Amino acid sequence: MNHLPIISSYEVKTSRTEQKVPVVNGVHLHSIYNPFKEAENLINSNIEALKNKNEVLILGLGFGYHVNYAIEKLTELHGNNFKVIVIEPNHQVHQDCLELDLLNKKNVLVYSGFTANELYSDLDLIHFLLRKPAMLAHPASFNLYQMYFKTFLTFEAPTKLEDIQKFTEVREVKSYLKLFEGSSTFEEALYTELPKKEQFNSMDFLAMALVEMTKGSREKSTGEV
Amino acid sequence: MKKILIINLRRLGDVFSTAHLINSLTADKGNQVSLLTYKESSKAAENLKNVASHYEIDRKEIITLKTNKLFSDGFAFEQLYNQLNEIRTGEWDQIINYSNDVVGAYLASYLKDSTKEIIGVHYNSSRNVVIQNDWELLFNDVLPVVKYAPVHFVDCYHKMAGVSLVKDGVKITTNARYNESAFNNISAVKKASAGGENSKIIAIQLKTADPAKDIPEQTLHELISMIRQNAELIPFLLIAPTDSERKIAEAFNQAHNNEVVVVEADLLAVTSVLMNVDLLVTPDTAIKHIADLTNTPVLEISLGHAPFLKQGSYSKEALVLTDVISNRGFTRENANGRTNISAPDIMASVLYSLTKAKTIKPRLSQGVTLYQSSFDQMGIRYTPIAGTIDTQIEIHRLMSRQLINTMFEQNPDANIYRDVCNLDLNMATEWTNNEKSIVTNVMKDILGTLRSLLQCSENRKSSRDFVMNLGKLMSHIESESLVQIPVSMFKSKIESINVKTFEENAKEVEVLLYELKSDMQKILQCLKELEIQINASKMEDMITRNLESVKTVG
Repeated sequence: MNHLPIISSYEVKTSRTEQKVPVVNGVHLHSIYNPFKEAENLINSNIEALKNKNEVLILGLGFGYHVNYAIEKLTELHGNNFKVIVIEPNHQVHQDCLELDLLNKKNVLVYSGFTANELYSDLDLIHFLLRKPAMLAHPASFNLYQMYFKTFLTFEAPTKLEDIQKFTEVREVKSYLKLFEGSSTFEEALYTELPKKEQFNSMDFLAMALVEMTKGSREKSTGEV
Repeated sequence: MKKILIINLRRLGDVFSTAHLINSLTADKGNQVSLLTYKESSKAAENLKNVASHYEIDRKEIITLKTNKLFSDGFAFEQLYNQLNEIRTGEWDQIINYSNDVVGAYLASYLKDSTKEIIGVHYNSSRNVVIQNDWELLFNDVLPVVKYAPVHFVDCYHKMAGVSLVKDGVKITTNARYNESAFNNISAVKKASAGGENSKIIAIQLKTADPAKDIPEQTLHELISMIRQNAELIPFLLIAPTDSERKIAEAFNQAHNNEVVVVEADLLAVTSVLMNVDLLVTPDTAIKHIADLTNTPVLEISLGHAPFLKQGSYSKEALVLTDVISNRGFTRENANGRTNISAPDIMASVLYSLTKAKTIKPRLSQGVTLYQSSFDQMGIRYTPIAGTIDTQIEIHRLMSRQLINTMFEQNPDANIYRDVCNLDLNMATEWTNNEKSIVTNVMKDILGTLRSLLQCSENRKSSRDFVMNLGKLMSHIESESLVQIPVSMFKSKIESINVKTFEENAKEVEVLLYELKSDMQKILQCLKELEIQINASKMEDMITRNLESVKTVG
């Protein structure tokens, strides 16, 4: 599944402690009693991860009470040297969160309303993931959008050459990949077509450097961040 | 003025050792040298002096992008392209592939349009290896084949780049605050010791990245105890600032009542420490290469597959303690797992290193050799000075060096003949005779191959004979004699011939066969010169003996 979850109902309620709480498809995304307390409990139970890493990926924004508390803790632990990225499938929730001015935006970047395919096309997010951030799931959002987050976490990037061409932004790389139109995948182009060539241009040597550099690691591929 | 890029995609120690070449290249003030390394070796690259720009490839990131199913493979390729973009769009006078590995060769080939010249292994558009000069051939095709390397890598790189070795110059960055702190702390330790300010600090590297190269723990314990028994010596244990090394050092120090000074230093801080110690005792580590750059005296304990003949300590009068060379294997597969080097051997070498006169050579265990480095016209040379010496191998090593002097530089080193004779005259004679007979066989095979090549030109049916003769000739590459060097070079040249018409290829082979024949004559010339020196030395010995007997009678 590589699309956004279907939202059949959406409303905003107020908790007993007077905080706004989004309710999506009948699911309350924060405690209707005390969203602050709930956020504190969530972050405190993950405090070790925050101590060890100054970069955190949060799955689910809601109205961001847990994000704000995480920022508070990260500031205590790392000063200004931290970064938080939040993945939220529901763009409307994010918009309302911003309009209600509920989110502390310090060092935070929110990706809302993007499919897994779109998320894994974003180089900034990829670089962030490559640094192996701490990961924290907002339970209510994670349960509500289970399929969406599962797809995000177990995503397999397309291997077809034509899809890879779409991912690339550099003109020279794009046009080089076009030369392998007969190949179905990038792997096939690199490991089967490339060695068969009789004349090699400079981009061929770059591709061969890539093959050589990643040799041995090829079999160890996993789908984990 | 030249704008030069050095590609070195190897590990920390190798990147540190690039400093010698950078120093020589930048001694010509106009030259500007930049460096490309993997990100994991950046700590070394950043500490080198005279580097105009440092570029890095984040290999780990590229591997993750390429192998992790989450990410598109295209990103890996794009990242590699982006990380090299600044280099590619630059204009270089020279790119030196210092890596001598396949990735380095591909990258040098990728960048060929950005430079006037590439030094080191790279490919042409047919993916054939391009060889610029004989030194490159020696480096890429001979040194990996010969068992006992006659030339150090650093010297080979200098020759490949056509630059003379410049020994003087600051090669590594230091931090003034660290320097002061290391000086003050070490002075304080000396003052507080029984030997006072005249005490000598012996820094010992506790661990290496490769357990096969580690000094055995028991040996280290014994060595520390022996050093501590000498009131004028103070042992320091050097460790990296990691939890694992901290734990090892802590457990190690318990056996010495926690009285041994443990110095925990990163690559920048360790430079300051090394500048203030009297001797570094270390296996093959990056620290050894840093010590070379700070002119710290080194006693290298060469264990496992550590290739000291190619990459040993590169400083004047460095000492290398090793199992006798005939028992060493310099590849992971061939390395001998056990060592005869004992704590008393290391201690004797430490004391030898610290004496000024150096007249009394240390006594070592059976099967252990102590080498000392010196510089000759080719560069660094390791000479056995104590312990068990395999004379045949040492003669062979020296004469291989002489052959290279003769073949590549047309400039034999007279000292080498003298040094061979000083080893053992009878063995030198025996070795020379054996070499001559091998050269005779190779000569016969060259002539046989030439003959069949000519027959082949007249009658293609004779090509089978030619192929057989050529194969027989090339089989001398296995011979552990001087012929191995020119035959290896010949083989590489044959293999890199591009397929053309039969006549054109036959002509090229013929030229190469005559070239090989000429190299055989150069071997004979070296052997002849050696024989002259042997006879002169024998005569000298005889006269000395006669004079002594006359004196005795008198």
